[in-house]
Amino acid sequence: MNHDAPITLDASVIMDRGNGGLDVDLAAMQTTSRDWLKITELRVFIDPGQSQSNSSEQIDFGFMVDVSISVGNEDLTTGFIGTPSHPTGERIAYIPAFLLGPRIYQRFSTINNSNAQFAADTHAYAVQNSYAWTLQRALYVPPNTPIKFKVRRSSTIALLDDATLYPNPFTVEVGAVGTRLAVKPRLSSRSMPHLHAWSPRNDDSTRIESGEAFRNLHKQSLRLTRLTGATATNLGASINGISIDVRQDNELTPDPTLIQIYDANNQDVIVPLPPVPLSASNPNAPVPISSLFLAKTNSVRISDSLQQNQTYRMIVSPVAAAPASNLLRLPMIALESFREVPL
Amino acid sequence: MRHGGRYGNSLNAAKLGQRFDPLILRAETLVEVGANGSPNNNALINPTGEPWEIHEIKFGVRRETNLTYARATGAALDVSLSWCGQKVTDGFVPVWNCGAAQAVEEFRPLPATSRLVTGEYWRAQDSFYSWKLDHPLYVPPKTALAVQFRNNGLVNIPLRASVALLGRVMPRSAKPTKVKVPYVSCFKSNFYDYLLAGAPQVSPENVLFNVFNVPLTIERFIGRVAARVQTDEAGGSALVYVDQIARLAFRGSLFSAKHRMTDGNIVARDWVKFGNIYGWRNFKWNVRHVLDPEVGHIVEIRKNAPPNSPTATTLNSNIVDATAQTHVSMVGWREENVP
Repeated sequence: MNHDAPITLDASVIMDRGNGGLDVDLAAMQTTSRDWLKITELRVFIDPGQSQSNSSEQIDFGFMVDVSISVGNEDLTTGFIGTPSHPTGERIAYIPAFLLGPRIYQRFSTINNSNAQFAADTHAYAVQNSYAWTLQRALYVPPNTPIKFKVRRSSTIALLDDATLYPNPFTVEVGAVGTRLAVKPRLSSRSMPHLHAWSPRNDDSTRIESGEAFRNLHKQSLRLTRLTGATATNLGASINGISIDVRQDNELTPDPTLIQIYDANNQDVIVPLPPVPLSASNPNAPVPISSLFLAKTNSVRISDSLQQNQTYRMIVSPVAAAPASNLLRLPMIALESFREVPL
Repeated sequence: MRHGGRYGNSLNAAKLGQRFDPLILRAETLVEVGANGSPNNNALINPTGEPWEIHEIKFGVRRETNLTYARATGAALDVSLSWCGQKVTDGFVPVWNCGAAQAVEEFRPLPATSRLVTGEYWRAQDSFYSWKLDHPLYVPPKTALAVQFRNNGLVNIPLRASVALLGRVMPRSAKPTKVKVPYVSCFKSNFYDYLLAGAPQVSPENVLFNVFNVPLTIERFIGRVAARVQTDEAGGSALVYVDQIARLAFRGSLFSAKHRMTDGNIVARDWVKFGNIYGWRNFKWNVRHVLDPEVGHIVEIRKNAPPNSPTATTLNSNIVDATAQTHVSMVGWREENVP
């Protein structure tokens, strides 16, 4: 090979309900040549097929599918995910696919008589979701090193992945996009991206602190580059005949979640504008989630750093009482970072 | 934009006091179904008599009839471009395969007064596409970028095709020795039926290929899906229109692709969803790399059967057929001498 060339490594798995963690085809996620790869984007695509009972158009399947990514001995993802047994989060390598980056809805209509028709504006939509993690710095992957993806269907959270509405398998396609390098790159260090997720369960009126602060366990300092966040909401009941949606609802009125994030110096990194009234139950002026994250991307760029053993932590406070008994609100926030690893 | 560097020492704008006036030239023509048509290429010559450089090319596709259902998109209109006798496109390529997709390309205007009264206006649709060139294209004085359109018959109506060239006037002294000339080639698959799985189809070796004797730098691939849904509405006469939702259906779940290069390099080893390779949002994949002469890309397209549905998958009673084809283009540039 005389020149660099584009490459995309892809593999797909079919996930039944309750799949606790599936490896994707490792052979598909590495090159067969001895070339270095320069990866610029990691992505997850979720296709629920047409066989689910819910064909509403606003579903975020990225809340129902978790993903774990690693390269060599490096975990690119870590998280604390709330479960009924560990409401403030258990430490796992998975993060919800939704938190990889801005998601793209792919609506498609079915063409059969019962669900949709092309001719008039009476399409019924099914939804596929695509999530892409565009890396701030390219990830250089040595020869013969697979990019390991594991996916799981988080049906432990039954209210999100409802057995009645989503009884059938999802197809999940994962991918890594970049360049196959014609010559070995001359690097003194290698940038290693990382994504850490917090998702304390928040389906009652309690104030919850993240189960464990995010701690930089590496010798190198971490450059923090982006926060992504949303409140996954199960609207809880059929509304106007529309099936239950699982979707991000940062823009619910009132805001479903208030958050605070504390940096390495234990200072609140969010200055509330306009000021949120202080109160006994709200002493440190958390801000509505919608005021922090942009509506389109659910993310905000930051520029900060964490030295070894320094931490970031998050506090979540719910705002409104649940309008339905089975309503679930699951705040999810991810912190994107990278560090330079000497070679 | 920094100017002057690519013109060597012949151009020192500050000393000359040159203003580099912006310039937009536009021409249009009516293209009948299955026919070719050229706009007035004289309208695309810089009227000041000076050289100029083109930064962006815009295409417009407008319906020329009031047929209710037909939608005019870039899938229906092909364009052939050449610069000083050199290829800018590999023959005819769809106008929507030159530039990455924009947020809004397809409009639903109300051009006919009757539509304000009789309804159905929402189906009317014109389209506009932009190709922002990766490098300015120098055009010598008294020379035009030669443009020819073809109505490929995807929608069965005449199309009003327009081209607009956006750039700036250069001083007479500006004459680069080399120009980075853009190049687009496109592979169109066959049409696949919605209801059936389709046999894989491989792009010919000589399509997404470096046909020049100099290296060709590829900036991006653009992958689009043209869907055609034929209905028997409107008085029973069969009409054809291109439906955006149908396009998403095909793109999202029904088309997969493999991708490799003629020199043996594998780009996408296994079947991958079409959109996962060529982009979901703006239908592009930026892949800057160099193709040596006689090297190219090969794309393989497969149509999957529709996924299982709670009910039998049949076409709606008023749909005659629903088909789609993929358009995969390779957009890049190479250096040419200025004549």
